[in-house]
Amino acid sequence: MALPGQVTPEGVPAFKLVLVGDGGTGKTTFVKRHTTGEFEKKYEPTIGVEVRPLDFTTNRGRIRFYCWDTAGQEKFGGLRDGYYIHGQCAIIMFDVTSRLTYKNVPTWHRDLCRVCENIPIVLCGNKVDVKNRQVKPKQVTFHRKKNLQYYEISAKSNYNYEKPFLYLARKLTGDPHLSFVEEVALPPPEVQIDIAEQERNERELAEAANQPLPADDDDELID
Amino acid sequence: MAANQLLAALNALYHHEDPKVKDEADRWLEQWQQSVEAWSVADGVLHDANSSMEAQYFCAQTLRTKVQRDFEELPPEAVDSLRESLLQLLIRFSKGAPPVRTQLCLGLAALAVHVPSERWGDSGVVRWFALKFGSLPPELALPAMLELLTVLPQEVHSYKIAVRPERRRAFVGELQANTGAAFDILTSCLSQPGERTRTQVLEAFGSWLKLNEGRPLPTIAAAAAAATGGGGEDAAATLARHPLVAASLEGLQGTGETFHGAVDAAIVPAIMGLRGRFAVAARRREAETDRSVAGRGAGGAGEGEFDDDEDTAKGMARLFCEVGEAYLTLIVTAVAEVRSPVEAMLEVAAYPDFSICSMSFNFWHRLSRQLLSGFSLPGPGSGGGSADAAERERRRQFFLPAFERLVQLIRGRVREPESYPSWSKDEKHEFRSSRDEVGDTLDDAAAVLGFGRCLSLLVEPLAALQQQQQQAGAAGGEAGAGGGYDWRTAEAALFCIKSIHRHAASLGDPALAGLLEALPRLPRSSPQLQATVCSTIARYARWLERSMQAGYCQPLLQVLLGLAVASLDMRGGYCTAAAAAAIRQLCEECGSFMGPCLQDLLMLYQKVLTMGAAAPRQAGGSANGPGGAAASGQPALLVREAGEEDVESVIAAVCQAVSQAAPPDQRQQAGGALLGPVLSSLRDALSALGPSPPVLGPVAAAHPALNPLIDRLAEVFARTSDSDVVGQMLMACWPVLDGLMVRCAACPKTTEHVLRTLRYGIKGAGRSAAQLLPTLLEVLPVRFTATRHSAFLFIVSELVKFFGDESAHDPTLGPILTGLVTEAGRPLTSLAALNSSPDMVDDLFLLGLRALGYAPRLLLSPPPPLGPAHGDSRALSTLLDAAMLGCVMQHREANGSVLGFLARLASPGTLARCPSPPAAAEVLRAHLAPRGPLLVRLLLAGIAGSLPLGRVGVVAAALLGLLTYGQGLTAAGAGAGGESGLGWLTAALQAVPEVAATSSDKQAFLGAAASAVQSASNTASSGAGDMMGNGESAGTYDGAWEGACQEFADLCRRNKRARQAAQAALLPQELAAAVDLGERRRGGGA
Repeated sequence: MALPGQVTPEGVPAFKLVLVGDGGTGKTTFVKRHTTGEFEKKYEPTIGVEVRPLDFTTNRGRIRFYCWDTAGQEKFGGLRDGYYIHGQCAIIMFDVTSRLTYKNVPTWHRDLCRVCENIPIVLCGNKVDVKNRQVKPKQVTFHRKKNLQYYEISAKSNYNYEKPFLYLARKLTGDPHLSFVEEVALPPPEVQIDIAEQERNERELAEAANQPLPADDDDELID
Repeated sequence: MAANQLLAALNALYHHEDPKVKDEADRWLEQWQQSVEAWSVADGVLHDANSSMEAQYFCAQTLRTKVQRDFEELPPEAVDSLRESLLQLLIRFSKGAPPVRTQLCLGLAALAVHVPSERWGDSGVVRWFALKFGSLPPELALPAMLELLTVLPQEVHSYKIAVRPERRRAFVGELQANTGAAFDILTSCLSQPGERTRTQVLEAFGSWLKLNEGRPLPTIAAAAAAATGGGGEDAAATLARHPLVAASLEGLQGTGETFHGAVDAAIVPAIMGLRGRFAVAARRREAETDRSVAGRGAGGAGEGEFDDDEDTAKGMARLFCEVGEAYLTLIVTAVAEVRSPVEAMLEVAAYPDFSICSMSFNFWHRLSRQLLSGFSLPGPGSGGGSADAAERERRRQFFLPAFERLVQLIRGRVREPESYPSWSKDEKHEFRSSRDEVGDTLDDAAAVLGFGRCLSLLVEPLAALQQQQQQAGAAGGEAGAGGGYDWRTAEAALFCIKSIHRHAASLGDPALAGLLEALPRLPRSSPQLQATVCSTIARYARWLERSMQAGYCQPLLQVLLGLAVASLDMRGGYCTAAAAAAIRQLCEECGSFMGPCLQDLLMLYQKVLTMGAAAPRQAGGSANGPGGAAASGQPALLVREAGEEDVESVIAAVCQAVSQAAPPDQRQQAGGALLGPVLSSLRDALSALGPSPPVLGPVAAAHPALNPLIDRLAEVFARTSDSDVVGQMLMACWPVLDGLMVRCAACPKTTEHVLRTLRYGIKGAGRSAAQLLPTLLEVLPVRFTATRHSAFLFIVSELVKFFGDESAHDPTLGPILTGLVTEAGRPLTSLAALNSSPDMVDDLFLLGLRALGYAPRLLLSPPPPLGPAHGDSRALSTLLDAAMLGCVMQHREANGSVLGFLARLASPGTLARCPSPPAAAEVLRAHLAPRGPLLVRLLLAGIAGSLPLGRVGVVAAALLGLLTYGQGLTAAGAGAGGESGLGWLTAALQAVPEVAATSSDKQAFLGAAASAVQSASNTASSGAGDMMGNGESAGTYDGAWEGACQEFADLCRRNKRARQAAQAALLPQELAAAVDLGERRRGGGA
């Protein structure tokens, strides 16, 4: 198992990645998308931790993340920050459709930094495919001051799926020109999110922050 | 022995390859952490000089965890020795591995929360520690003391510490009273050498600042007085004489001295002292960047990312930002002293690397917001009068130069570098998002500067370019002819200008109008520039509309529309998306002025329909085989660049413009003309699917154009504003839509597209869909049974919304609703079944919610002979049975719908909207009252820990609804069986064991419930409030009830013992098993 500078039996450099964030933000779904390809609509809280190897092929050879997918819900937390030691990189996940999960990001970040000082961390806003978004891009500022990388992702549509891993791989190898050579073998997305479209949306969403919801929003129940 | 077993388990967890072994070790360790022996074993490992860092960390983490959550189990006499032991360990690890030290500090902080202040001596917890560390050499005492001072205030709100809510609150006060002591120690630490120390001091300061957020000095002084028991001497006076306070007050006279001011004098100069060093780093970086740009062509965005110098610069920049943001409330007062931190932020913004420059953006954003909103002078009687306005303006003026400078510093950063085309996809993406960040900051700046001033700054580079061009033209150079035109600078300027569009308030503003008029004259050689021209048009469409309403700028519309249309198929397709968006925006905003443009728009419509998904596949370009190209068999005449989204944008735009600008008598005909071609290609696509047998599997694989063609129809429905016209369209389309439903029944995805389109049709048609209603009501249940696609429930809920209030439809709508609900609810008989189909649960209860909102009588009518012939309460019964499980399901959306349904069902407004409230009340009583006690118990379980903490607010609303309903039964004398809402709650609370909540806790909760029920009943009977029980804001309670629920939740969740005991008591056995599956797996059953 990966300790600093360690490799797998096959000689592949491996890194311990700690995945944290509130319950229901989609951590397990995000990881499972890579390992099994499934997109799970159901919600089964993770208990304690589930460790999964995630392999990527880069222009510099293979790389493996041992992903420690930790429980988000306090009552299923298991050893909690007992899992963090030797963490070499981390992803903090929140759900853009739930403000509370963003509000808790600083706590996750602090708990992580108390154990793993100065590791590269990516902040991921998941579920950007959902229309009824509560956390707009402009409201996400935590990463700036704390010097984290931020990505909007959608496990459902595969949007930006590989970005967090690429960023971490570059930081960990110290090679800013590292790239993933094969398309990560992801199954076809559940929802079509065209990247150009998403980029357009990002701007529009930012502007929509102060505007009332459109009339055709699903949420209105009684006019 | 025990230690060896622990080490083996740790080794397995951290290093074993086999997930099963890991999992087993994980479980063992979790069990072990909860055991009593863990205290001593962990202590032993930490004292063993030979143990590994890994083991030390885990043992320190274990001790911390145990202090946090198992403290209640300790005998009181053990506290002192525990404290002493932790302290000795902390001293031992003061220079050891930082994560171990941190865990020990957290353990001590948790102890401070648990142990009341009297056991920390007269001078408080901070001094107690200071005294203990006082005898140690500074290199040992300093790291431990600083870390302790950092985490103490941070842990005040930590829910990991299993402490009763009132003790947590008391601790906040106790710790705030220690602020003075903390200041003294931190101030003295400032004189210690070392960068690391200074950073830690700052961090510790930061956490004390947060603890006292915004609290003025007198309050702290009073708290200090209270904590020290007054002692005769005026504590406020003592604190005021503190050198820190005195120093800061000198500079802050009359500005409403805040707490922030107190540390300003000591800490800010120390940090501001770094400015010189930062400037050197910035200059060096600038020189490097120049060299590298000159040296090699491509300078990627990530260049120099791992440079040490840059890391140092980053560290300094971060400190400046910390200061800027921490002192924002002080900075905003606009006194001379705040210039230094503001200038430091400008220096950060000026730094060559964008990653550093952008660190300042949050500061500017917040400063801008603070300057413009919610300001009023302190003191009585200043009710937002002219004095406030004058003060606000003075502050704005004070910061104008800074914001002007900011604009000048960042406007150039959006210019695309010459090497951009050679960049990787990621670098390009990074650059584009950095442009958006600059755009956001310009928007913040424009808010302070005003649109006109900001625009004039942003136009400067464009004007300079113009001038250059003219000079070159006059000199006979070729730049004037467009060959050497610096389009990048022009593009950058336009990008900036479009970013501030929200602030364009002045109608017909000549500067802006002049700029827009000049857009067609910009050279069209660069598609990138043209794309930004289009998005500029899109952004100012709203301003244009308002200006035209006021009689300005009318000729501009046609000019800009023409420009966007011409850009649509500019070579390379680079600006297609931007052009489509501009067309859409112009039509959406200025639709009613589009009369003169309609012919052009219709031609455009015809043209785009052949693009995107409908474009003929290029030979060899698609592996989809025959049938891939949906509608037309035309050869590929043109390279179709438009994506399907762009086609849909234009469809939306034209439909909108036509339905707004066409004269009323021509709308039907115009709508038909728009629908015709879209429908006919969809019909062709349907027949391309082949003869009747249902298609198996995903249709889109073989027919990639099908789903997009269905979506086009949705756009036509959604953007046509006349409901009669949409009603006609819907009738015309129904056979094709139903054909698709039948043919694609086995493909959930295509079914979803069809249903989405149908939904838009029904939404758009509203009551004009009446003609189709009988057909829909007949067909939809059949299709639902065939597909079990939950979106059918949503469609029916739309019908309920539009036709529910007409009782004439009851004989058809009622049975359909009952049939669908019972059919959908049939398999939902266990929590596992609900968990595995959250979509179905969500849509089922949304349907229930809409039925309650628009036609409650359909759910609440008694069966014949008492009720109407179609009367039936099976749907209600099905919904309530499913709700008894769904109210504790984990899935957020589904659970939210269930709880929303319960809240609305219990709301008095629901009954009031039935034709015969007494009869409906009787039905409701028959179904809800018997389930009331169990539902209340389940909801209480949700609060006590079955559901995530974040959902307590929603549960609180549903619970109050039920309680108020139950209480109403008693009041109305209908509670023949002795039902009463508070009685249900009392019974449920009685079940909760003492270990989770004491009888006085329960009494307090019951009291809160009683007054919330009282005020909810009053509001209901006075007719005020939201009678519809709308959505999650259901009910008419104030924050007090939700606060009481939060408190009860905190209480029962404070540790595992309490939570499990409460769950075991409240949940029926089979539900308890399903809800707490995870904890059972771990053998942690109560």
